[in-house]
Amino acid sequence: MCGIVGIYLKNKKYNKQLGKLLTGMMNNMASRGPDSAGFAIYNKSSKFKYTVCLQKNFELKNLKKILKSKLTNTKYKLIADHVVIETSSKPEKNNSNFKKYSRY
Amino acid sequence: MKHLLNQKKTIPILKNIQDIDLVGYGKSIEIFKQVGNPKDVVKKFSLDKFSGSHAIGHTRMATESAITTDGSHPYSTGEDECLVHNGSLSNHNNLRRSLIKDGIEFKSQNDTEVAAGYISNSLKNKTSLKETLTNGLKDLDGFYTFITGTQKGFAVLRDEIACKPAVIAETKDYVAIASEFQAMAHLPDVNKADIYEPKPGIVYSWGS
Repeated sequence: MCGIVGIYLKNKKYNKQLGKLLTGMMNNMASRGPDSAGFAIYNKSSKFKYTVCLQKNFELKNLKKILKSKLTNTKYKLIADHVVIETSSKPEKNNSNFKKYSRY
Repeated sequence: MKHLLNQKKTIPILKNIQDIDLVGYGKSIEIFKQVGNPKDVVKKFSLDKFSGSHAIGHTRMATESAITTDGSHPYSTGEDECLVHNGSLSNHNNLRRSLIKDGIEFKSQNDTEVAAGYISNSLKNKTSLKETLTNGLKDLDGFYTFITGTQKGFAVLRDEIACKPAVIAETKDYVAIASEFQAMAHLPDVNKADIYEPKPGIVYSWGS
């Protein structure tokens, strides 16, 4: 089966409630897909965001340590085993820390 | 666990960290996914606290690949791109092989990952999202309702036989899509919404 849901806001009226609205949509589709779930949220930032999933026994502080000298102006948001890394460092050719994408 | 996202290798800074998987990246997108009942998963990630401009979700009943995090949707194979899928593709093995020849690598055996790779590969070649999905009608064999997200919005496509359900509710403030209407029953002003079923083989898009 599987359940799919999406919501696109035409104006700013419900921006703050977006997650709440999607929560209800996903809860109501739980019966179509009880095995796993996921969602993508679009919230434009002036920086670049990477969502990463930490594997078992790997902590955020370890990740911060590794990335400290490599990324500038960086914030980390830890939610369960996912971390959103928000940083000014872009994955573009002019940044020595990143190569230009060769694929996609 | 296998890498969730193939481009991890093209971002050297993350490539060297063996203990993380890149789930998605871009200026807007944040992606969270996990094994378990959707009601527990959304709670675990505190979805109700998020704000933003648009969002896409998926609840999975596993068919084509194992119940793992990297078998979970949404699949992201490009900057600010993601795909969720209800259905199953029958030519994903062939298509995977031909996309691999184009330089794309796949890490899971999942059919939806192939469709996501197909879409990203096409967008990379400057084909519009609408045209990409229209081409997908020829190239993706199987049954599906897709929702594919980009930085600006999302698009919906059902296969030409419309095997999988979909319903759209549109008001002056939002457009919502779901497999069944009950997913939208709690939305504000839904009673006044324009409610319709997307036609088979037609691309519907908003914002993009």
